[in-house]
Amino acid sequence: MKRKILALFLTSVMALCPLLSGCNAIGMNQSDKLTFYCVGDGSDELFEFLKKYNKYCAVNDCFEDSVEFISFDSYNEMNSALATELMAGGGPDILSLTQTYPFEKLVRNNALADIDEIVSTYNADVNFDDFNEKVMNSGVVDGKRCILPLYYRLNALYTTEEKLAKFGLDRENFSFDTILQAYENGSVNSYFVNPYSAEAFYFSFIRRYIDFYEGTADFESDEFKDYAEKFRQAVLKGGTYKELHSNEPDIPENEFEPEDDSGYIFSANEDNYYGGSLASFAQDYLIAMEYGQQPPVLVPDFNRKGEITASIEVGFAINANCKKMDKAAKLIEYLLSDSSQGYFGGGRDDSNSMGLSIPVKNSVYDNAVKEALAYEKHFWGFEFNRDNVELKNKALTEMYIPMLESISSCNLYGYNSQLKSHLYQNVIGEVIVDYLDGKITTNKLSQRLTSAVTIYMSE
Amino acid sequence: MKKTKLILKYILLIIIALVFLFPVIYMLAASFMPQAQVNTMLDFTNEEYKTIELIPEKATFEQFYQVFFRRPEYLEKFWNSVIMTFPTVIGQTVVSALAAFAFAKLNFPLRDKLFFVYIILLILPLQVTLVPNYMVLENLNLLNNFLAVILPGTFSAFGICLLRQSIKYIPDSSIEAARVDGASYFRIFTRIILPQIKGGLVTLVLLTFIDNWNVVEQPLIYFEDEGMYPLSVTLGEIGNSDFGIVFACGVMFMIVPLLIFAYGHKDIDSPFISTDK
Amino acid sequence: MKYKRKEGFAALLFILPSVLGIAVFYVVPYIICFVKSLFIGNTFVGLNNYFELFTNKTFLLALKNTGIFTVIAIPLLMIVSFLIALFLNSFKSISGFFRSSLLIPVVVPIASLVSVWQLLFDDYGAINGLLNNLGLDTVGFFNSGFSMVMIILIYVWKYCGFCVVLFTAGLAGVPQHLYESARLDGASSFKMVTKVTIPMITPTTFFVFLMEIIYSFKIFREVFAIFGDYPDENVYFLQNFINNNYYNLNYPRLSAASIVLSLFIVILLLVFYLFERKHSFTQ
Repeated sequence: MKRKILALFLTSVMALCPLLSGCNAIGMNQSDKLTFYCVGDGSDELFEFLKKYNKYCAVNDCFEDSVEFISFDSYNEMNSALATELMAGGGPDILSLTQTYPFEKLVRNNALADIDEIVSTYNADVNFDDFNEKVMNSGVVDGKRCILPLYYRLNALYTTEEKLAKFGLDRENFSFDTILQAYENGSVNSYFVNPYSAEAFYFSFIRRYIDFYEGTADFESDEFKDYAEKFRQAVLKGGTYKELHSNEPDIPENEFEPEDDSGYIFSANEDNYYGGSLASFAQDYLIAMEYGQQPPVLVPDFNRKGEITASIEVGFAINANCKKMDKAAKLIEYLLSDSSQGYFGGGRDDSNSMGLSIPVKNSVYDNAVKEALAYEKHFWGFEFNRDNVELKNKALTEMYIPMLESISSCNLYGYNSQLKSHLYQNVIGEVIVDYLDGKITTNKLSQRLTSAVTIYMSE
Repeated sequence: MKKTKLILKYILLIIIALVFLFPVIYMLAASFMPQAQVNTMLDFTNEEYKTIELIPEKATFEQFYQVFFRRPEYLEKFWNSVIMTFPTVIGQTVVSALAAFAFAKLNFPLRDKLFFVYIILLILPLQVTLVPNYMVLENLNLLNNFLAVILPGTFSAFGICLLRQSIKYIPDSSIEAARVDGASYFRIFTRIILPQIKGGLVTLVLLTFIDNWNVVEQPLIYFEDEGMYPLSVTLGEIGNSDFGIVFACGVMFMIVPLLIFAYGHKDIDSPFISTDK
Repeated sequence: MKYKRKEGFAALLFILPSVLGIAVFYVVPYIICFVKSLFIGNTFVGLNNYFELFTNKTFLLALKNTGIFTVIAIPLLMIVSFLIALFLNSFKSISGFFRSSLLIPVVVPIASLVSVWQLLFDDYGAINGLLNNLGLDTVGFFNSGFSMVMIILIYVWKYCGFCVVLFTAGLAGVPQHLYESARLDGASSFKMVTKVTIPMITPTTFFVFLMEIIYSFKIFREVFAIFGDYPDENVYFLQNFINNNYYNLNYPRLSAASIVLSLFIVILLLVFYLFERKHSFTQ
């Protein structure tokens, strides 16, 4: 009797086990194709690239290599599906940098595939010497290349000569100290008209003190506390955080209409952090001159060492659980090819082609430079003034291009995507907002940031 | 001499009671304060030491008004808490009583070894089964459904351990007598056992209720839809947005367990009290 | 023989709902957890995850903090509630009000009290105000070693009433005649407590210990409510570690840590169980 019941119990448990744990087929990545998760109809920039790849596959008759998009109704849904499937050993094959994944952790716990290995195992036609070394290195952590950048943008802010002169600032000596000085002089209302830019700026300031590659943070210094306090006041324009968000000024849709951003150092344009491609910079410059306005001037957003940096605009990683590495190799080969890089590299003649920041492939970059310098006719047909074109070329060769060529390193998150990052959303975003809101003191900010980031990096 | 000793003892007793009641009294008092006062009270950066202000500047129902009439989302979350807790409590009591009877009074093979497994499961913290449970629930298609929280709670081992202790004190003789009279086990259960473990049952109901009323981790992971979150989850987040009504919300949240407590506290006995006490 | 089989069968029916539920929602997930802890993704790595875990400094920090809390808070609570139970027992009769007031902390939900704790323990809170008036330095309850003190205080405050109730019932079960004979033998009150009371309530003590362990892991909810996901490093517990690894999508580590946590508890339980067996004084 004893033995019978024991046997019954054990068999029932064992029967339940596979029934409840083995059948992860529901939701597990059963597709033969590479998968990519998106919300709605895809608001991710990588999405455009993947769609282009699918077209390429259709044209070249290798339909089975194309990417399958799995779409969700909301971010919450996507995140839960992701969670279960990663747990079960599946998950999306392609992870975009702008999606909210804890990349700081993923690169260290073997969750991302080694791209070098994929390329060499499946003989993809990719030679990493053909690419911008500094930018590509940003995807290498602990000797393993797990993140592949496709496009990058300079970390620079967008202002005009007039404003620089007005606030007593200088392009060469631009730094925290000088813009804080300008604020304290009283001549400046604040830095940005748009409160979201203010928040992004503040967060990027905080990120400077985190070393992604070492996994350390340095928030204890007096220097940090000092800057944190002063920047906070400057960014809040002397008001409160709530006021900052409730008094959103009207931002004109067309940046070329006169706007009242005279009290602000940086432009009222929503996309304050200048990231346009070379060709769109050329266009902006010429159009501004055409309308008799101040042309854009780029000031570098220096890092703590006073170096010029860039950040990845579009990048992705491959899930280590991916079972179709050969298809991944083909995808990588395509995305790093001349045609894909060049398509969005800027300089073409249709309206969509002003480009998506800077391509990583050297040959395509050189082309983009050439085309930007040769740009003298708007695609609607009218030609720009010769003198202005000369000025534009001068701006390119003396301002934009030297900055691009002198970047010392590249960050994973750009200004626009950093507020979507896991680090902001789940780790330190709340602390920062609390601080901006005036709920905690500077000392507490420092302590909480230190403990949160140190623990997060090493968990 | 004896009298002073007695007085001292009573003073100590009152102090002890106050220490335990203090935060609750404070919360009650604060819930009647006008929102402006609460805002200054909770302002931590004006570098002044907080004094305990127990007297509201002007006693007002303002906070309660806001919570009950102006912010329906809190009532909705409150209702979510109720939906999640009541079935769990009822379920657990029933399941546990049945099983506890078997463990305490009936003989069957592997009884003690199985009970040891129950004890281990009892003290296992939630986190251990939290994530794998997600997979189980997903396979049962119960995610984003209140049952995802109700079912695991119903089958918690807590009730069985508690009630087993209570039932053990019932003398075997009364059960034997009933068996001899030909009663079925179920009859014995309902007629003899249940009435005598009233204390244990009440304790179980109260403790299970409190435990599930406070549930936080499971809804966060098992529910995708934020509208299903119980008040225990949202109350923590109120502090960040609506300072003014934090206390009133806290009071509202506290009322239900307090009511249940008030109803049953006389019967709360440790499972060790024998029936002839 | 027939009798026994019927009993066995009846018993099976009684425990069936419970066993089924426990199997599905507790045993199976536990087994899944264990199996998952031996894999990374889809590759079997054996005990590698555990090795990595024990060389991870954050895990060791969490383990240390959980250990410190358990070792300090549980005996502390036991002693405090025992003393209070003795104290209450010395009164001839106590109104229900006092007993209820002790139980109120258990009943009040955690979320309701977070603001109160902040008001009391903040750097500029009431307690620091008092300390400052006495000339002492400000104690950073939210971000220093004293955070642990704060959590222990909250734990003791919250569960004392419940333990007092348990101890009271246990004390009531001690036969009076034992005290009588001890007094006749000339024993002092202290001796009476140590030689008569404590040994006689060993089963109660064991039960209190069990409940305290359960509640010591539930205290995580308070920590979470007050500090959020990333508390100060002095109150970073194993549950935080496990929780956060869920959000970090690191399931192998999460599973391994959960198994370690459960082993920790089982060992704790076994230790006390054996200790109780050895020193049991029940007649």
